Order: sequence, then structure tokens, then C-alpha cells
Amino acid sequence: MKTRIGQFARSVSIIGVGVTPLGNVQVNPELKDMTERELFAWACMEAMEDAGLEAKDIDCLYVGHVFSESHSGQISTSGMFSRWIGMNEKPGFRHETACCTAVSGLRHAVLAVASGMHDIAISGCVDINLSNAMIGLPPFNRTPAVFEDVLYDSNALGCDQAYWYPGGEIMAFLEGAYIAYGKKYGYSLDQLIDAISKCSINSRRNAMNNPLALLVSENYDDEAKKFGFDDPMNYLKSKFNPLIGAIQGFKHTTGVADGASALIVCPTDMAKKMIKGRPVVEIAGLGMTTSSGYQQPGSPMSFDIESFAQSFTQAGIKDPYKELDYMAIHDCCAQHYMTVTEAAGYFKPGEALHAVMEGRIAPEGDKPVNTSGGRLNLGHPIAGAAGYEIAEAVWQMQGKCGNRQIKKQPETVLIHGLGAGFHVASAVLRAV
Amino acid sequence: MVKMQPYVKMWYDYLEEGKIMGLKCKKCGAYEFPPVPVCNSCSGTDLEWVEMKGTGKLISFSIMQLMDKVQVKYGRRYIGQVQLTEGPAFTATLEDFDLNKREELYDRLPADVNLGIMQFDGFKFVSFKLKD
Ligand SMILES: [Zn+2]
Repeated sequence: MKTRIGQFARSVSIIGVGVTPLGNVQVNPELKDMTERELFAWACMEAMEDAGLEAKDIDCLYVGHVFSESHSGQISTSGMFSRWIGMNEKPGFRHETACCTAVSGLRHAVLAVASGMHDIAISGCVDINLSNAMIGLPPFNRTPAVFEDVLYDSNALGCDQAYWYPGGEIMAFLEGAYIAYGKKYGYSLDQLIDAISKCSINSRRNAMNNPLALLVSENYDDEAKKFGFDDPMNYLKSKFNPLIGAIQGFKHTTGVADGASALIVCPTDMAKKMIKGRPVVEIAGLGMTTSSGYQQPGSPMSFDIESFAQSFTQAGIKDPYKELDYMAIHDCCAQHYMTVTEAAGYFKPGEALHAVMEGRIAPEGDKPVNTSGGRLNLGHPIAGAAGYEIAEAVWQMQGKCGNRQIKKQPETVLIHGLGAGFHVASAVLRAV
Repeated sequence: MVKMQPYVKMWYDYLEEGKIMGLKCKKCGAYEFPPVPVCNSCSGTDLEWVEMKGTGKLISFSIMQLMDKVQVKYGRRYIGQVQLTEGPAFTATLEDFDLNKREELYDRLPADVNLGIMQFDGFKFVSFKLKD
């Protein structure tokens, strides 16, 4: 269904972003023994430092925390966490829309400021996914998560138990869209497999260039050689990449991680006075759809198209193919580099598969996507997920990405977040 | 006055009787399948229970092999995304097709299917089978 889209009462911009490294709080020394509180505070304090603000300057907070009950054994964590960032008794609440929670958090923060209710808002998102709190013990006591349980929490809880769950799970559902995509444009299954492998290889290379990625240690070239393959494309077709669907393997999909992301927004006029020597990043458009999922056949998916249409309407984008310089997608599975980019018009219908094979989505390509390494290889912290892509987009727009930097600093960027349930939350960011 | 019904239970109860039911909007004729009380096409709230034709087209598929602690009971199987003849789409198990023949299934898309009813652990759910 079409949504009426108006304009913000005043323009709002991002003035600070912050993220933690992505890893495992039981394993990686950088995160060792931290609870949700430290991770949340870490990301928020980074965002404050980036904005040049102190906690007392910020008017309200939004806490994205998806698995607060199942992994942290807590509800209403915004109450508990506010003091951790010096914002005791400031207004705020906890929210979740699964893997697009961070884009929903951006939306909450932007609307709070655009409405005139507040001047400065912070959105922080956190989850610990690789271990569970032990109820009754202080929360640094955790048990490693069991795969089948993680899968149930992160996947089955997002499928409608009334009408969907007996019909499958999310990764299979999303693969279906790619099968339909391939059929629509006449690609063979082998072509479809090669394209998702190419996406994984590109993503791993980006993650290896990203110091935030603690869960990967080598490029696919090197990993493939260890298993006797000269070509990582063949390695990704082998038994070492076991199928989880009809054509997609484990290494074509994401692995969960522990981590937090945060961002701070304020009126654009204020941002321009505060920020000197780097572009101010305005939120030019927001989009969001809610959809039960099991009624989305084929590709592109209408919940993506409608969310992007809202963002484009508000941002005044007429020709996304020409106007967008960079796109960040929720790459929980590699096929989104084809299906979602085309739903946005970042690529023409059927073009993305060839663009991927030709390396055009790499940082040095003409149509870069997810230079951070994304969910495929940087890691998937669930609530904070899209916050890493928003931070990466802001850093790209400010020319701070080092050896992942896109040659021509992007000025107009599209952010895509997909959360089980489903939700598609999107945003257009613009350098002003 | 809203006259709410226990739609979810009614739908599953119909499946126990061997009937695949949906709701048809009396205002615009669109179908809500599976049932919800408000028409998503015209916002109408006067919908009637009707038996679905039981046919549709398979648009896409996947193979369920990522098994959580519940799905593990049902094992590897195709799932299919089907556009029902009446309009709505639905996702469910595709029965009776060789798991080693994904290429053949891909070649046959979009394929005509019949809707069926499959037994799960303690309840029945809709499924699909290819028409020969
Ligand atoms: Zn109607």
C-alpha cells in the first residue's frame, strides 16, 4: 500500500557516529568480559566524541536492543542503560525491528528532532548474540550460544508463527527471491551461484581492510589455498561451503556477532555551525514498510520497492541510477547484492549480476556497495547491524575510509535495512 | 461493533476438516489468505469465509536445510513461493519432488501447483504439489 510522505518540519543531520569492533565477548580480547552495557556505552561515547558533544548536551535517547529478553535476560533496557552514557532521567525507550533496528533508531531520532520536540538525539543499538546471560548471576557470566538455539532466536522468532513458520525460515525465503530473479532474467543456477560467491569474496576483502572485523582472519584466496583450491570461486562451490538452501552456502550468508553502534542527530543549521572541515550528512529521506513476509513472491520485493519509494519521494530523488553514489544493503545473504540493489534502481533490472562479476561493487568500482565488509564478513550484531553501514557511509562521505575509500567521495547515499518480521527501513543521506 | 473471530484457530480447524479456507472481501472482491479481518486492498471489514480453489503457480523455491531446534523435526524439504489463483501469495512446503533435481525444478518455473494439506507435529498446514 502506498504511503503519504510529507517533509520534515526542519532539516536534520548526523553529527556523530560510533561503533565497537565486531566479535565475541567470550573470545576476542578487545571485547572480553563486556556486557551489553559496556558495548552500548562504548558506541555512544564514540559518537559523542565524534560529534564533539557531552552527554548533557543530548536531549533524548533511543535504545535498539533486539534480543534483550532471550540473550540478555532483561526487558526495558533503555532504563538500565541511560546512566551508562550519562543520560540518567533523559527521555527515551527501547525498541526493536530485528536486523533493521538501527535504521528504525535513526528514524526515531530524526523524527524527534525534525518535529522540534528535541534538538539533539542519540540512537544506540546493542546485542550480544554469541552467548547468553545466566539469569540470577551478574551479566558477565554467560554461556556460549548453541547453534540451533541461535538460529531459532534469530530466525524463527521473526517468522509469523501463525501463518509462516511451518512454511520455512527466513534465509530460505530470501533465497526464493533470488531464484525468481534468476528465472526472470534467464540466468542459470550456476551463474546465480557464481555471483553470490563473487559477492562473498568482495565482502571478505572489504572486511579484511576494516579493523572493526574481529571474526575474519584472511582473504578467500588464502583460505581457499589452505583447503587445496587455487580459485576461491571453486572453493566456495565445494563441500567446504555446505549448502543451507537450494544454492546458497554458509559462506554466502552472515554469521552473528556481538557489538554496538550509535549515531547522534541535530538540526542541520546547528550541525553546520558545529562541524567544520568535513561535509555535514543530512538525512534527506526516510522510508519504512511493515510486511508479514510470506506474501512476497518473486523479485524485486514490494516491501523493498515501497520503502525506497518513500525515501526517494522525501529526498526528491528522481533517477536513483544516476543520483546515488553509494548504496549500503542489509547483506545477511549475498543475493541481496542483486535483488535489493535492483529494487532500489541502483542497478538496472538484471544488471546487478553482471556488475558483481565485473567487480563494479568493489570500493574501486563505479557502483560500490557495502565497502565495510557488511554482514557477510564484518559481522552481524543484529540491533546494531545497519549502524555499521550508516557509520561507513558517513566515513565514506567524509573521506575517512583509508584503503576502503571510494575514489570520488560519495555525496548521495542510500541505506537499506531489512529486519525479520518483516520491516524494510531505508534512508537517503546527503552531503550538504 | 466489531465482531472479532478467532481467525487463526478457525483456519487451522478448517485444515483439520480438509478445507483450505480464506476470506473474500465483500466490498472489492479481493482475497485475504491466510485470513485477517481487514482487507489490505480496500480497507473493507466485511469479509466472508470461502474455500480456496486450491491452485496456483510456483514462482520460486528454496531447500530448507538450516534447521533450528523445532524445524529439525521436519527435515530437509523444498519450500515454494506460490501465487494462488485468487491472487494472494503464500510460502509453504513443496512436497514430492526429488531434492537432487533442483535444476529440473528451476527449469519448470513458473509451474502449476495444487494446494494440499500436510501433517506437522500436532497440526496441519498448507503445502504444494506440482501438477503433472
Ligand atoms: Zn476489499
